[in-house]
Amino acid sequence: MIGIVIVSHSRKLAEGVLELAAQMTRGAVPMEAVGGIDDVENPIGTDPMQVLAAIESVAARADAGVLVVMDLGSALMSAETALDFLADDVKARVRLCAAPLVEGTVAAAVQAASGADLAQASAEAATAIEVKIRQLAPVTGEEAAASAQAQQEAAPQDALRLEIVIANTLGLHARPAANLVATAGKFRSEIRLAKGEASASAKSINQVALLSVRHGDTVVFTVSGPDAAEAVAALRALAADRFGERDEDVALAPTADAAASGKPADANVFSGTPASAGYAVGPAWVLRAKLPEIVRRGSDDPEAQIRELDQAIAAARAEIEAIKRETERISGKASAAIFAVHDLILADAALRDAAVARISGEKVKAAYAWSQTVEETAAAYGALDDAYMRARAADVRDCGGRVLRILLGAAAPALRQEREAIVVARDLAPSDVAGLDAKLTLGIVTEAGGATSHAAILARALGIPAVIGAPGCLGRIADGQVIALDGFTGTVWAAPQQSVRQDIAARRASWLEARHEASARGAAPAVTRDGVAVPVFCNIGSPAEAAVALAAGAEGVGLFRTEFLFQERDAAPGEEEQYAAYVAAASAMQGRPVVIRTLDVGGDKPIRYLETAKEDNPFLGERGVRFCLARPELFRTQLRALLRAAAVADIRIMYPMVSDVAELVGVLALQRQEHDALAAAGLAVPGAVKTGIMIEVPAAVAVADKLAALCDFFSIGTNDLTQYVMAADRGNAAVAPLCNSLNPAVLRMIAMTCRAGEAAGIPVAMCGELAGEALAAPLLLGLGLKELSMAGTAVAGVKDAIRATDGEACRALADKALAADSAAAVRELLRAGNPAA
Amino acid sequence: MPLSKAQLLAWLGKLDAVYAAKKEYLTDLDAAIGDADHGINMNRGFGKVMEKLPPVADKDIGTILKTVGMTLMSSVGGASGPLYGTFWMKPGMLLGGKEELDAADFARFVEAGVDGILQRGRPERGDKTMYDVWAPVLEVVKARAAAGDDVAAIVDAALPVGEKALADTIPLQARKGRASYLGERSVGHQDPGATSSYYMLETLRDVLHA
Repeated sequence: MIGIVIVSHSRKLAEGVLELAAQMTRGAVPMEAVGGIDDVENPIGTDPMQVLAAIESVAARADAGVLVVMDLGSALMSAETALDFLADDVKARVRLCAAPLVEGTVAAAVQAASGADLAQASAEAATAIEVKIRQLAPVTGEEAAASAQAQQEAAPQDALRLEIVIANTLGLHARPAANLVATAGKFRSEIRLAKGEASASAKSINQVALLSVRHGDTVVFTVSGPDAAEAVAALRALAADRFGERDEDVALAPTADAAASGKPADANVFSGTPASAGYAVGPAWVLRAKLPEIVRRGSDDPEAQIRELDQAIAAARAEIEAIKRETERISGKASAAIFAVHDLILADAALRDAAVARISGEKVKAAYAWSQTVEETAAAYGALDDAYMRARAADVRDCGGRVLRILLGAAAPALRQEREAIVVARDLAPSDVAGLDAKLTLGIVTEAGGATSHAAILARALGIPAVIGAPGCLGRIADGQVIALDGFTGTVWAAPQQSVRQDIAARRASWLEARHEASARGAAPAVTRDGVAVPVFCNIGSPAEAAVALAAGAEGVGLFRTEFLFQERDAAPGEEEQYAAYVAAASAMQGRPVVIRTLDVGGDKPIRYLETAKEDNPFLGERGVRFCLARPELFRTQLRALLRAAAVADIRIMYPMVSDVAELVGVLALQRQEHDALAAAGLAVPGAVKTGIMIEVPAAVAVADKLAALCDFFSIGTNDLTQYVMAADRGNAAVAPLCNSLNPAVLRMIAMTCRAGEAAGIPVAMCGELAGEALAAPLLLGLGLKELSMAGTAVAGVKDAIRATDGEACRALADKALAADSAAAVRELLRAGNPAA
Repeated sequence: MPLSKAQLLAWLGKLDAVYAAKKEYLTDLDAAIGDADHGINMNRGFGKVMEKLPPVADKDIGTILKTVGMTLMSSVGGASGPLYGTFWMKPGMLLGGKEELDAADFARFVEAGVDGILQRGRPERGDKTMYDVWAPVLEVVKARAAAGDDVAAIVDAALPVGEKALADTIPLQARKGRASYLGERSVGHQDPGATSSYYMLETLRDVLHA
């Protein structure tokens, strides 16, 4: 192996460059840095004797010779001077390299590590600056000197030639380039690839990419060495296979035709699913354009770090596969193709191996090793002169970042939004969403996903306009670029003209005004004409939504779903994490009551790390509180977090899917045990925590009187109650019409529940979808409901409906509805009672 | 009269004083077109020479010259380290065993030294370097030595040539060293390396006339 001596006027610089190069080579390459002179006050300078000593020292360890890389001026002279003092046999193995110090040293070190000789390493180093020049060319307007010519070497006489016309649509880029380098690397022969005057080593991905070989170009391979004939045969076969180019590679590339014939006005307009109403215009904030910064941390157990990395890569690939499938289902194969590329990148053993080598060589943690490796790879892509190839840098960072987030788990640095922007992302993971600031997020645009994706649901809950599933828009949207979106039609303008901007801005203003008016109406309490105040609450799914609920005028949270804490991760959240989330939601509600429902999952909504048995009929299986009772540790952890949170805020506990008395008794006993244990351990717990149950199983309605004696409140979940009462799956189109909450059978169950509650003296609330229907509000009050909980967007309308009615009218309406023959008849009654509807 | 070892040592001692006195001036010259360290470097270099000389002061001239060269090489720091280092060392290798330098020896001394500068820096005349002073000076030295002048007469004849050559560096555009990065902005400034070279000649004249 060759060694490297780094010479600079500045010792700090020399040592810094050494550090940089060593980072790339993990100590494999003998290197020494010399710089500065022995003068504390004026340390800048070079000393030929020090250079001499460094060369001799490295030469002793590097059998293939020493490459000397220098900064400028006297460094060159000192290095030359040092040569004069070297013994002839050593001198013959020393080469001074004209490459720029930093770029050249790094390039040379990498070459050295891969076994290059002095000439190869020196040539690679000398061209290292071109990558930089090309990368900056769009900014500086400079072109790299045609120094590819300079490195062109006369082909030896005995070299074999192979001339090929490139048939690949993409030219020698991406996978084809990688395949070429991999194939060439298998042979000992020197393999050069020439296009016109310029030539490159076919073993260097950098050089091959820099050659910019395009479709239709004629290239000439010159192969010289012991296995030249075999190499030529392999190259010929590879070329015949279009260098392994596959259709999905081509599908990703912007086709020249589209660029040429497409109407320029349309190229910047994208359409997706109108996932959340509203308008927005403003600068784009492109998520995951950068990797999070990882602090370098050491690890004494490389084996464990490597295992963690492999697991994280596997988990990331599983995530990608899931997103790919969902995207394919919603938006088709073409939109999902990008995720195939992400998978390809993560499947690349070279990427993984480079990170693993770092872990072992530098004794660092997997996250650091991985982030460095991914960033290097992305930077290499980013430096290429081809727009298509440069775009791949973002993909490397995107899927690399996914692995990083998995590696870091809860320690992953959250996204920090600093200014008003339209968030643009390939897709939004719940963890990303948690970092968004609803106040600063003007809108959301994603390439993947549909109306039911996490981003869409969240955007609606937060009242943020969103267009989800607009494929291709990321390629046209740079960070900070002003874009516009219409969440009513699902349109995104990547480069809106002044007229579009003004139009969308005006629409946004009137939309905001209307919303503001509605929220003003929402803020006032809902009191019926005869003076009965009806608490109107909100349903939320994350602490972030609490603020939205408050803004909408909610007087509390009637249902806080805790599933979000458990989804999209690899292990259940701990007690502290849960405690923090519950307290956060409660504090966002500023002292108003928050009803928190314990984990409500089952075979119909599985969580990957929680074992769920395969059930023939998951809706009739182990779900809700049944699921938790069967997993006491999971359940106890949540209960402890809830009980502790209830000590610092008005938090109430609610159990889902309770179906009989014994079950509730068992649940309450568990809660009591944890309560007592916490108190015994000296932790703050309230004297009593208001505890209630969801009424969503017909059996619970039947024994509501008994259940009411055991708890503090009921809350009716109309969605599940309706499908259980009607024995109709609302997801099954054939029976969906039966599954209507207004069906008199369902209404009678609601009335029964309310009577039981009244008899026991406990309030009955409703947190199902029906509660958010303004038209149904008088009916629900008439049936005996005391509180209604709904999505934030429904608050104002429902409050208006409550204000417009009175107790007598409500009861009369309820009587008629209970006696009606069908859901349709009930709806007619509701309409008749509200002429405006 | 030949140049004696005592005169040589006096020359070196006086050079140390000159570079100490001219430290700011040389550094200012360098600040205009380079890295503002030439005065500091020369002062440090000859300071070190003074430390290294006593043990070799009674050795032959070759040894003294080599010691000066090696010391300058390691301590000057900038490009003038290898340049002046070579300038003194090359003649040192040539003049081993000498206790004094006659006119021919002196001419060989200057020729070998300037050769070293050429070998090390590959300058050409007009590059705005110390070579712009040494090239014409070498011509005069060789001519006067061939004509039979003694060392003092040679130096007397060379000094005005060097002085003019030094002034002639002012309008030149630097093509070597860090000054070359300044391009046209290096025009209008006297070259610091040429200046410190001229001081060597001037100081030698002073010593020979003392």
